[in-house]
Amino acid sequence: MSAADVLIIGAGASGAVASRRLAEAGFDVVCLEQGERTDPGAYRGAYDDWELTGLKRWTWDPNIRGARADYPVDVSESDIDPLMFNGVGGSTVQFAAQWPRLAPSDFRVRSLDGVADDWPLSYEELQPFYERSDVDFGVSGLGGDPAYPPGADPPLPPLPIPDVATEIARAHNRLGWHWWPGTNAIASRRYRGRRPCVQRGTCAWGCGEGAKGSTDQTHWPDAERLGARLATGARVSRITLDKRGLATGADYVDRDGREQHQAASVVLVAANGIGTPRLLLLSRSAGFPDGLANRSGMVGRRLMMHPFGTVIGLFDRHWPSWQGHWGQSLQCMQFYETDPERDFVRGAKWGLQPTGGPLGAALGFGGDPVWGTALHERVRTNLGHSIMWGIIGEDLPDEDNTVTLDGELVDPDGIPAPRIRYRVSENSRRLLKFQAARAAESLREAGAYETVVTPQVRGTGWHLLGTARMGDDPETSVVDRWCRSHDVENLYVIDGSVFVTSGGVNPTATISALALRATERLIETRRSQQVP
Amino acid sequence: MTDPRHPDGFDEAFRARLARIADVLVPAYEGMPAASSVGIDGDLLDKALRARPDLVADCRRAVRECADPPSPQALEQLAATDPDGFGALMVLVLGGYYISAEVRKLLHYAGQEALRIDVGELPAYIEEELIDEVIGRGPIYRRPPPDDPQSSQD
Ligand SMILES: Cc1cc2nc3c(=O)[nH]c(=O)nc-3n(C[C@H](O)[C@H](O)[C@H](O)COP(=O)(O)OP(=O)(O)OC[C@H]3O[C@@H](n4cnc5c(N)ncnc54)[C@H](O)[C@@H]3O)c2cc1C
Ligand code: SF4
Repeated sequence: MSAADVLIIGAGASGAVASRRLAEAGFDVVCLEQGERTDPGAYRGAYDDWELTGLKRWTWDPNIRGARADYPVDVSESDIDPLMFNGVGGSTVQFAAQWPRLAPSDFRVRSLDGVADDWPLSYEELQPFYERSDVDFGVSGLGGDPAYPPGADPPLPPLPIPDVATEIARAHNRLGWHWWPGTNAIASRRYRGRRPCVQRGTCAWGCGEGAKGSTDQTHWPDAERLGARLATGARVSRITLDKRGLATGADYVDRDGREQHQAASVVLVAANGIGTPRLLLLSRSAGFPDGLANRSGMVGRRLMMHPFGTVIGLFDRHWPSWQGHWGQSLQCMQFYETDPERDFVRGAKWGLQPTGGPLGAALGFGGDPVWGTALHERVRTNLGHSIMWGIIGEDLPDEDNTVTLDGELVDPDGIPAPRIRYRVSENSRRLLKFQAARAAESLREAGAYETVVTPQVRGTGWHLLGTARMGDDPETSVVDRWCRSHDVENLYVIDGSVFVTSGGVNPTATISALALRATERLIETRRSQQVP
Repeated sequence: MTDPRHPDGFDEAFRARLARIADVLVPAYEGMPAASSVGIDGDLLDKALRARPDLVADCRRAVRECADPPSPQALEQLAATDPDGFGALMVLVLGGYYISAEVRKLLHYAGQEALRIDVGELPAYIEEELIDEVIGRGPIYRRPPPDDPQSSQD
C-alpha cells in the first residue's frame, strides 16, 4: 500500500478510536491487523451449541483457540492466563462491555496511599474524553452516580435489570452500601444503526445483534467510510526506523506469508498490553538494543491483569438466570477506596452478572466439574437460581511482572512469541478475600440461602495493562502524558499498555478515552510533528 | 478398519461403550433422565462432536482406556491417568446432554432467548425511589488534593 500519514498497528479498541478520529480529520490512515473481520452471523449465541463452541472456537484464551490470527503466549511462569481476541474490533469483539471509569483517586495512588505511582494526568483532564467516548460507543447507564464527580449523562438509558438485582439494591440500601445501575457499552435503544440489546446473555462470545459496542460495529464502518485503509491478515513483525531514529513504518507478513513494508509518517501502536511490548521488543536495533522506545527499561514491565474474584448467590426463587446482558446489571463501588483499617490498599468494583447456561453450571464457574448425582444437584441449584458478583480489584504494578520474548515459541508466521511472568500479589489476595466476604454478605442480605466464593482461577486475564507506562520522566516511563514515546518522536503507544496503575475497574472506557485524547493531541500538533 | 459411515471410528459398538460411560457421568436422578435414555450416543454426540472436532482423538482414546462396563472408580482412575481424555468425555457427554430438547424442557431452559426490552418502562428502583437513598448518602469517591502540581494541564 502507498505510504500513509499515520500507520496504526492493531484494529481493536484503541486502534479503532484513533483510526476513526484521524480519518475524520482528513489524515490518510492505514491500519494493519493480524486477524480478520468477523461476520456477526458467525457468533453462536442463538444456537444450542454456544457453550460447547465457547470452550474452543470462541474461547477467550488464544492458547486454546489457536487460530491463524492468534499468537501463542508462554504462560508457564504466570498465575493468570491472558485473554484476548485478535481480529477487527480486537478484544471488544468478546468483551463484556462493562464500561466503568477510573475514579479520581486512581490517578493519584502515590499521593493518596503511598503506593505505586501517580498518573501524569487527572480525572478532570480525561473526563471530556470519557464523555465523548460514551457517545461514540453508545453507552447505556444512569447519570448522577455518587461514586464519580458530576458530568454528562450516558447517551442511552440503563438496560433493564432482573428482579433479583432490585432485591440486591434494596439489600444494599439496608446495609447503607453503594449500588448503581450498571454502565455498559450496550445499546438499550436503537442507536446509530445498531439494534437494541435482546438480553441473550452471550455478549462475551460475540454479539450477533450488533447491540454491543465492539469497535467493528461502533468505529470501523465510519472510519472506512471516511477513507481509513484497514488491512487484515497483516501481522506486524517490526517497526522500522531511519538514521535519525524516527519511525518510518513497519514490516509485516501478509495473509499469503509474503513480507511487506508499510511506510508512514507517524506510527501508533495499538496491539494491547501483551502485543505492544512484544512488538517493541521485536523491533530492537543498534540504536535500541533492548527494544524500541525502551531506554527506560520499562517496556514489558509492570504487567497488570486484575486478578478476578466471583461470588455466586443461590436463591430459592426461579428466574431465567442465564438471560440478561453480560455486562453488569448493577455495579457497586462501596469498597473501592483505601481504608487504613484493612490489611490491603486500594479496592474493587463489583459487577452483577448472569451465570450462564447448564453446561457452564455443570462444569463449574471456578473450573471444578462434577459428575454423577452431584452434577444434577449442581445444575438444579444453580440454573435458574443464581446470580454473580464479579470482583475487579486493583492490581498494583510490579516490575517483575513482565512480557518478554520467548526463545523458542513462535506464531504461525514464525515470529517470536511473548512469554509472560506474573504473580498475584499479597495485596491482591487480601483484597479479593475481603471483597468476596462483603459480596457474600450482600447476597445473603438479599435473600440468598447460600453463597459460593469461587477460587481465583487462571483464565481471567481479560485486562492487559501497564507494559509501556506513561509518565513525565523518560528515565522511568515509555510514553509521555500524550502517549508519545519519550525516545522516538513520531511513535505513539495508545492501548492499555500505557496505564500507570490498573485501578479496580474494567479498563476499556479509559483505554478509549486515552486513545481519543492522544489522537486529538496528534491532530492539534500536526504542524510541529517531526516526520521522517 | 475405519467404518466409512463413521469416519472417526465411532461405530455402533464404540458408541454403546461410550453410552455406558455417559450413564456413570450423567445417571438418572430425581426426575432427570440418564444420558443414554436421551440418546447421547446418537445425534447428540454427533452435534457435540461437530461443535468440538478437536476432542475426537481424546474421546476415542478415553473410551478405549476406560474399563468396560465402567464404574465410578474406573472413571476416577481415568481422570487421574488421562485428564485430557476424561475432560474430553465430560465436555462431549455433558455438552450433548444439555443440548437435548427433553433435558432442556425438564430444566425449564429454552436456550439463550432474544427478548424485547422496553426502556421506556420505569424501573422499580426509580419508581420505588430506591436510587434516591443512594444519592442521599452523598458522594463516595475520594477527591485528590486540588493543589497537586502534577494535575496541571500541559
Ligand atoms: C472475554 C473478555 C471480556 C472482557 N470484558 C471487558 C469488560 O466488560 N469491560 C472492559 O472494560 N474490558 C473488558 N475486556 C477487555 C477489553 O476487551 C480490552 O481492554 C480492550 O479491548 C483492549 O483494547 P486495546 O486497544 O488495548 O487492545 P485490543 O482490543 O486487544 O486490540 C489489539 C489488536 O491488535 C492486534 N495485534 C496485536 N499484535 C499485532 C501485530 N503484531 N500485528 C498486527 N496486529 C496486531 C490484535 O489482533 C488485536 O486486534 C474483556 C476482554 C475479554 C477478552
Ligand atoms: S445480551 Fe445484548 S449485548 Fe449481549 S449479546 Fe445479547 S444482544 Fe448483544
